[in-house]
Order: sequence, then C-alpha cells, then structure tokens
Amino acid sequence: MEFIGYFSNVFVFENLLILVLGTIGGLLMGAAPGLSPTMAVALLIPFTFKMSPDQGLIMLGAVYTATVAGGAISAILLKIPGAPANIATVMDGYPMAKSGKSKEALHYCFISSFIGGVIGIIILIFFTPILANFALKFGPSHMFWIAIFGVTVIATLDSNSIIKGLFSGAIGLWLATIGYDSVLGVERFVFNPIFSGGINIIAALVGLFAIPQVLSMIEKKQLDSDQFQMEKKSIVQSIIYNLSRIKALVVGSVSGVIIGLIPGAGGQIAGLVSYDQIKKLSKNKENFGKGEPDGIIAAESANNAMVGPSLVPLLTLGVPGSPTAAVLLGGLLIHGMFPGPNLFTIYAETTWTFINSLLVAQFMMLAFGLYISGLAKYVIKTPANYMAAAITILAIFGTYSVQHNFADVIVMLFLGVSMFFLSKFGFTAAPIVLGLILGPIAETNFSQAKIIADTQEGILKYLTTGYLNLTIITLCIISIIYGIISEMKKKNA
Amino acid sequence: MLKINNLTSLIFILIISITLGYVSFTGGTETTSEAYLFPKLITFVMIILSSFSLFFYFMNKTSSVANIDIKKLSVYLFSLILFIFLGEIIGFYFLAILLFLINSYYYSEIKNLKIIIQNMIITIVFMIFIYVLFSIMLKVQVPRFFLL
Repeated sequence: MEFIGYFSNVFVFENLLILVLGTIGGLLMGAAPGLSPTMAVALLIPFTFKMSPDQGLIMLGAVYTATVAGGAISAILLKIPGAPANIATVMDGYPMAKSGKSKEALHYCFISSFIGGVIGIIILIFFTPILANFALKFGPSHMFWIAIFGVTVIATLDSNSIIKGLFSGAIGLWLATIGYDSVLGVERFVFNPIFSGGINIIAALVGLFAIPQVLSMIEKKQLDSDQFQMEKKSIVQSIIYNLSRIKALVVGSVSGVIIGLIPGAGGQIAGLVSYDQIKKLSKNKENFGKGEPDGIIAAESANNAMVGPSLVPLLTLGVPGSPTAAVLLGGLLIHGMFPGPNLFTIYAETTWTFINSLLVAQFMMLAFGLYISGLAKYVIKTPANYMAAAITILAIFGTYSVQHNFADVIVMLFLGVSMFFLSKFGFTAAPIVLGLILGPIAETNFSQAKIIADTQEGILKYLTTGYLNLTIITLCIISIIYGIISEMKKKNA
Repeated sequence: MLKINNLTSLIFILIISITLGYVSFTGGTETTSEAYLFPKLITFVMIILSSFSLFFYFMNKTSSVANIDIKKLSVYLFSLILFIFLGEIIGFYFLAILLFLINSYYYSEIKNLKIIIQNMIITIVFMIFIYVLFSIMLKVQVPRFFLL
C-alpha cells in the first residue's frame, strides 16, 4: 500500500495541469490518423528534458494512455485506426457509426477503455513482481509462436479470404526483413540505400491505412461519414449498457492484461485477440463486423488494459511490454532512472507518482473522451475534398517527423497507393501491418531459438515441444480452422 | 474506368511471391546464409498460398472484376507524384498548400469563385495549424523553400 502515500504528488497544481494537457493532447493526437501512441510519446520525449522527472513521466504516461483511447475516434468515424491498437475497433465501430450510432460507439469506446485501463493499472500496482515472473517464462520459441499467432489471428479476422489474409501477413513479415538482420547484423534486400534502415513501421502504418481510405473517399466522391447521422445518446444509458456487457469487459480486460505482460506483444494484439475471443464466445456471432457493441467493448477494454501491465516487465526488468513502453524506457533513462529494484527504493517517489498519475489519467481520459465524443459531429461533417487533402498532408508531415527522412514519405505513399489497388482484390492492410510489426520479433526469436536448438536436438523439436509451445501452436491452428469454417459458411450462405 | 480481372491479380501475386522467393533463396554468401533462413521460410509460405489461390480460382471458377476509376483519381495521384519528386526541392509547405488547394477545388461538387475563396481560407487556417503543430510545437525541420 506504499503507493497511497504518493497520491498527493499527482494533485500538485503543475502536475495536474500537465496531466490535463497530456490527456487532451493525447486524445487529439490519437484521433489524428498516423499519430500513433509510440510516435506521440517519442515526439514528446525531447520536451520532457526541461521538466522534472515526475512531470516528464506524468506527461508521457498521460499521452500514452490517452492516445490509445483517442485512436478509436478516427477508427469509428473514419475507418482509419488512429493507432495499431485500434485496428479491431474499426471492425464494429465503423459499421455502428454508419448505422447512425457513432456517439453510442464512442461512448462504449471510452467507458470500456476506462474500465480496462483502471484494471490494468491496478494490476501494475499490486501484481508487478508476481506477473513479471510469469512473463519471464516466455523464451525465444514461445515469442516466435506468439508473433505467428498474432498474424494468423488478424489474417482470419480482417479478411474475407483466409488465404489472402495469410498471404498479406506473410508479405508484412517479409517486408520486415528488409534492412539489417538483428541477430547477425547482415544487410538484406537493400536494393536502394533508402531501405538500409528497413521499412519504418510508422510510415507503413500511415500509408497502408490512411492513403487507401483517402483514395476510396475520392473515388466514391462522397465522404462515407456523410451518410450517417450523429444521434442523441445519453451517457448514463451508455454506462448502464456497457456495465451490463460483463462478458465482453472480462474477455477484453483479461486478454489485455495477459498480452500486456508479454514483452513486445503490444495493444494491437490485445485488441485483436480479445475481439477474436468475444466473437467466438458470443451468441450473436453473425452480428460481428456489422456493428456489434461487444466487439468495441472487448477491443477497447483490452487495448487500455494492456497499458499498465506492459509497464510491469519494463519497470522491473527493463523489458518493454509494447513498442510505446520501449519508447517510454527512453523517458526513464534520460532522467537517470534505470529499471529494476532501485525504481521502488531510491526513486520510489517518482515511480509511484508516475504510476498513480496513470490511474488518475484514466478518469481524465473518460471525462474528456466522453466530452469529445459529443463534438465528433464536427469531424464527420467535414466534406470529403477537405478531409482527403487534410489527411494526406497530416500523413506526409507526420511520417516525415518520425526520423526526418524523406524516404519514409516515399515508402508511405508507395505502400498506400499499392494497398488501394490490392484492396480491390480482397487484400487487407491489417495483416500486412501486423506482419511488419511482429516480423522483427518473430525473426529475432527464431534466430535465437535456432542458436539454442543447434546445440540440442534441432530447431523443429525445440519449437514444437513443451506445454507453452504446444498451447500457442494449438491456438494458431484453431485460429486458421476457425477462419476456414467462417469462409465456407459465408460462401454457402 | 480501369477493369482488372481477379485472375490477373492472382497471377501477379504469384509472380511477386516467386520473385521474392528468388531473391531470398539466392541472396547472401556461405557465411551470411543464416540471415536468409527466415525470409526463405516466409517466401516458401507465400508461394504455397498464392498457388492455392490460383488453384481455388480454377476450382470454383468464380471470376470477379475490380473497377478502378483512374480518371477520377488522377489529380490526387498526380499530386502525390509531385510531392515525391519535388518535396525536397520545392519544400513541404509550398507543396502542401498546392496539394490542398488543387484537391479541395477539383473534388468539390460546386465550382465557383465563392468556393475558391472558401478553399483558400480553409487552406490557410489548416496550414497554420500544421505549422504550429510540427514546426513550432514538435520542432520538426521539414524541407523548405525560401519562407515556405
């Protein structure tokens, strides 16, 4: 209960002001397509140099929490996930908005994010040592299978054809191998010097999601969101309904907590796995993808429940639980704070102030998020021609700002236009993006597994023995079989 | 209107898979071949999946055609090409203003003087927002031409 003693630090005027600004800024940045949580936190780190460690970390934590939730705004209203964590939210959020329930969808998003977020932070506070030990059980072979599982899940979920979905995932995994091999340091597939650093994930994310959407907006010559109305919806009604969806909340929060603890897995997997699970457990499977509230509730509670636990291995071992947590590690190090037991002894005041501020940030995110959802009509009434130009310029500037590299802008535009043409034939962006994100994790762990296996009984045996490996492999197979059955059912219907 | 048959796309992805397979299997030397093991595995899976796609296409004989309105998209695609080739020379702000003005006018349903003035005001306001966000707040040094 040591953390309670440091709560008053959060409510110091300057800290509270930073928390409010971080939350509002995070919500707006999350809503802007392309400004992902990782990017937002990375861009803010230089600003925290001038702040005290407490204030710097409060700012980064608030932005991290709010961008994850804010990313759902553009996912629901524009069909463009503001962040990778919101990919699953698009599946039912956008159909709900299209059928005139955009405000309701946004309410569910922020209420579920709040519930999941609070659960995640409580886990962070109370179970840090215990859960960090569990995450430590994951070796290279398990991490390799977790990455493959992530790709198979999205390939079966986000595509009408399982083969095309898996193919898209494989393209993403291959694209991730461009540049230097992380284990051996060998340069591969660098046909032009601009690719020596590999494909930047932010550039790919912005290009694959934003540009095809702009092109289809222009092609239809009508903004999709013009078709739907912003209804009147009471917040109290939304809260009551949301709390009644216990199954979706539990599935989302539990998935988020578990996946958050697995180093490198991140919010996108949390959202997708929870969506997959709730769809399988639901009695209304046929409603998923058509505007089922449980889809939003599970996905959003999961991606925010992931935030707290993703910091557990970071704070105790220095192993980030998500890409954003990895960037946050930089925020700790610039203030001379190294992860480990020292954080809870020498730097206890700063550490607990930071963790407590994350809890307070959940309440602020809920309040400001619900308020912003009432103003969302201004976003959806923007004519297509302005929206298309604005998204393109934001995408270009946002992509360039990551590493000040014009090649990233070229890659972003090239991937975006290519994706538009591929989407005409049933290919989807999400498996490619996930392949790109998980590619380095899969390959690094595969290479490490091979090095270990070469001294034992071979790579095949190493990857396919042990209860954890077998459990994850079974999950991969179930996911593919489920995709095949769903596709066959659709064809027969 | 550009019409592309589904079969064309499936043959295209098979060619892509074989090409990527070729560069993965022939890449590296004896000492660096280990680094190509993972890409080899991926392209092997890609070739199998794209072959399956073709096989099922001929089994089901379900032909579909994708329509792409290239004429409508041409102005937008041209502005992107312009950005790629001139972005670093002319500067981001100048090209972004041009991109916003051209696209917002060309894709507007009503075209008159009032719309032109409205577009110019919206462009200025939006570009001020972009300038404040990226150049002032985030200190991003984008390629610039004179004052823009």
